[in-house]
Amino acid sequence: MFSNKYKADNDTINPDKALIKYLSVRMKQAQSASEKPEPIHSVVKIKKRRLAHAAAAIAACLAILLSAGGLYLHFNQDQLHPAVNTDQKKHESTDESTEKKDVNFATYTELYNLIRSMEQTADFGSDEDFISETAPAAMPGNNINGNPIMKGGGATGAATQATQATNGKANSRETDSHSKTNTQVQGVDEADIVKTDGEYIYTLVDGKLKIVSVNGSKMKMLSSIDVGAGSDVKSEYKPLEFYIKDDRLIVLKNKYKIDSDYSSKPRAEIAYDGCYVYNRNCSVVADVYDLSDRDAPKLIGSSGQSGYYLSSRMVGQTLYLITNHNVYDTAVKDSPETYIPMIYSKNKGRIIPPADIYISKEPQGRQYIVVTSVDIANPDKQISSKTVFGCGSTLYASTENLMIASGSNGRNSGGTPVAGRTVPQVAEKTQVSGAVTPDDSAGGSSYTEKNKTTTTTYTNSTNLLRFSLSDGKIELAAKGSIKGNLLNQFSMDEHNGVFRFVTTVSTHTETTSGSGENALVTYTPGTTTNSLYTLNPKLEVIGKIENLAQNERVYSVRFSGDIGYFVTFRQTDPLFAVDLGNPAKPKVLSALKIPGFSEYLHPWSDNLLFGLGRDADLSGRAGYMKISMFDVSDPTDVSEKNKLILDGYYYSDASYNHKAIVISPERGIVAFPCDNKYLIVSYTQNGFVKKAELSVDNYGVNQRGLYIDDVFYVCTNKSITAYSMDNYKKLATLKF
Amino acid sequence: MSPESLRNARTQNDSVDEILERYAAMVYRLAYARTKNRFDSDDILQEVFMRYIRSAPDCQDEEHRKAWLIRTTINCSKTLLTSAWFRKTAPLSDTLSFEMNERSEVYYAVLELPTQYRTVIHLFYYEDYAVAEIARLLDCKESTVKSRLHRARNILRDKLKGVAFDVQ
Repeated sequence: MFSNKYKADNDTINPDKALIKYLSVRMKQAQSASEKPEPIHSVVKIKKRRLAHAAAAIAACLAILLSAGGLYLHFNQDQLHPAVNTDQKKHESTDESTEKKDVNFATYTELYNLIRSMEQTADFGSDEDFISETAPAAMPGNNINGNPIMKGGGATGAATQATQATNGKANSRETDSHSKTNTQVQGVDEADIVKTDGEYIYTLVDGKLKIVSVNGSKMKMLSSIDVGAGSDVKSEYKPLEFYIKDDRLIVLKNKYKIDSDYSSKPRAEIAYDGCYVYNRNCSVVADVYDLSDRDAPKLIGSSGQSGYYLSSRMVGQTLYLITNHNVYDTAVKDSPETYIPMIYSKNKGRIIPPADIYISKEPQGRQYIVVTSVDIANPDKQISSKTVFGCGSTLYASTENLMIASGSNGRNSGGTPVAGRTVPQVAEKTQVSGAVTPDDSAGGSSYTEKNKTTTTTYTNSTNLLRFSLSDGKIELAAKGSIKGNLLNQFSMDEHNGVFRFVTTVSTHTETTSGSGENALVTYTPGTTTNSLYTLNPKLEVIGKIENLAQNERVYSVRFSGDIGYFVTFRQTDPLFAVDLGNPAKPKVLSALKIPGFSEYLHPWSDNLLFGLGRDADLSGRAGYMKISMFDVSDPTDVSEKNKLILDGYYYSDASYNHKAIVISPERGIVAFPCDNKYLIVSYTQNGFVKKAELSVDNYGVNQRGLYIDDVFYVCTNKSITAYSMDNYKKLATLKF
Repeated sequence: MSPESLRNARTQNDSVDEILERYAAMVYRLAYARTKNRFDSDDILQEVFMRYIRSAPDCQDEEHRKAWLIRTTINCSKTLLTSAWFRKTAPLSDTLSFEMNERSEVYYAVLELPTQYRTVIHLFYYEDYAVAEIARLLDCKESTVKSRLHRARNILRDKLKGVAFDVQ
């Protein structure tokens, strides 16, 4: 009876259909991306001690704070000191071996000790032993970041349109002869897998960068560069995305060192380390090509840095490249290159000098954020490089600032215990009853404190780092922290020197009974609310609205000048409009409740806000895709002016990747991939009209649409197809 | 072709959709039993299957594949929570429907157990694994599984007095 009931209950728990569909798309994409089969690894037995640190990241971090706190806290709220004195000898040697000799170990030693201390303190309190799997998660070529559909963290916005909104001005694009990558901030370009400059289409397909000249329906492939090739034969390269700037092509690619030792390493050392780790021998390379002869592009320079690709931006001629670099148990004290990130130019590496290294106050794992800048006119050398010992995951950049956020869900490292209490009591409900068998691995040796129960409530938080950018010069300018986690890059914004954030704040309670190895930790989710914060350049909170929409979470955010919009969801979609005119006193102007929710918001004009999302029934069950146009002319009374439910469609890349959507108020169209079709919808005063449902040849992944003059092109990894924008009849197809 | 090589050929060629059809719910339910919330379960579901694709485990048969997925689910639910990156890229789905459904006190009683007890209970009562198999899946001793089951049953019996008394 117990068994039957438990089974029946479980049978009611099912994953969302759209999620399965989405997952299926991602899996197929990953499958086709890796042509050669991945090596198979045998089961690796892992020693318990080794593993404990990964599971017990929280213990590690708390221990750092308590035991090592005073020693390593170089961060002040107002003043940021480099990890070591800047007057220390700078190391400019470009050769690893000489670097070893020249380095002043006293400074790197500090980092080394910190890294080691994080291992040692992580030796207790693991919930369960780790179990090995038959293959490590992190194999060359497996990096999800290399998966173009999700690159850069899955979200951004619309360059020109966004700024129209930011400036509060009507559409005033100089030319609208062709579409551009949908970016978040005007003047800050974001890399993608397909781009156009109005004359040529550039597309990254299977490691090749193809340049196609277009003249209406006449398409001709001029060249196909093997951008995945690399000079180092002992490495594997995976192109991720690229930029086009005038006659320059900048390709970003991951480089994985082929480690013959790899399969013998316990996976826990490789794959789990507080922050998510993909590869232990990974670096990112930026190759710059000269395109003045598009029939024969020439590689003119390249630079790189340690870590896996987080994101990048381009402002004018300057490329900013951000990676996460992990440190492993392989750190050797006298070899700083084993625990300090490197930067590379012309394939020569040098360790980042101590003066450019900062230590985050609450490192959440043995990880660095590495930020460099490169002038694409002189691509063999970084203008500037900075690294912070700490985690980063979401990134926002304006032309002057780079904000790197790292979320902590509280139950792990970096969480803030807000109400810790220890209650010695006979905790009958959580107490382990029954005899303890001596060989029980869950039962340690200390049974005396079994009746002690500790309850701690954690609130998630986000740590922020602000770097100032000025012609490639990068300076760490401020550090701060806010409650809650961000959804994506659109959750952050900068306007008139004020930084604005929307977060979802959730709490959870951990009840620990027993102690040591015998401890049992019970996790209970608490409340979920949503907050908006305004911060000054020092990243101090100057204004806030908290406790919005209890038990809902943020689904989309868009800031537009003095107004911020965001959507939370449970059963209906409250679209909040917040007045940020006075950053110290943000005010909710309205909360429109409509069925469903928007996952991407985009200012269409001064008075209209476009939303892409899902419909939902009254119980909150999500249905078909839905697009909406909100009338925001009066922010105190926002209404859904028009909507179109896309019957039969469940999934669009555009919901998670802003670069997959084309939004053109000038042309009056919205275009995006949807399931296995590519949809083009027009918008006029009278509402949305579905113009075309174009068939595509690659199951809806990695599709990009673009237009040049009066022709719309749908690019997939197999072909480019041209359609007339008058009637969306097919004009021509270029197969790769 | 021997029956075994036939079986191998079949498992190798199964399409993504077939594998999802067969195992997505299994992974999801185990993830839910461990994390107790749908957001994390959504994340884990994706991570497990993406790992499956990326690492292409050499599964000799369905049982092996199932075991691989279960082990990976358990590992992911332990570690995924540390991954800010993952949360950021994964679309958090809106699987609200089942949360609206009433489930019996049995399920809630199980959710109140400590994680490692929930795991053995789930594998034993839902996936119908024997103690020895659970021990292999969790890479621990049979006696450990037995004692966890034993303690979990004691707690459940206490909680479910008069509801589902046959926890055995």
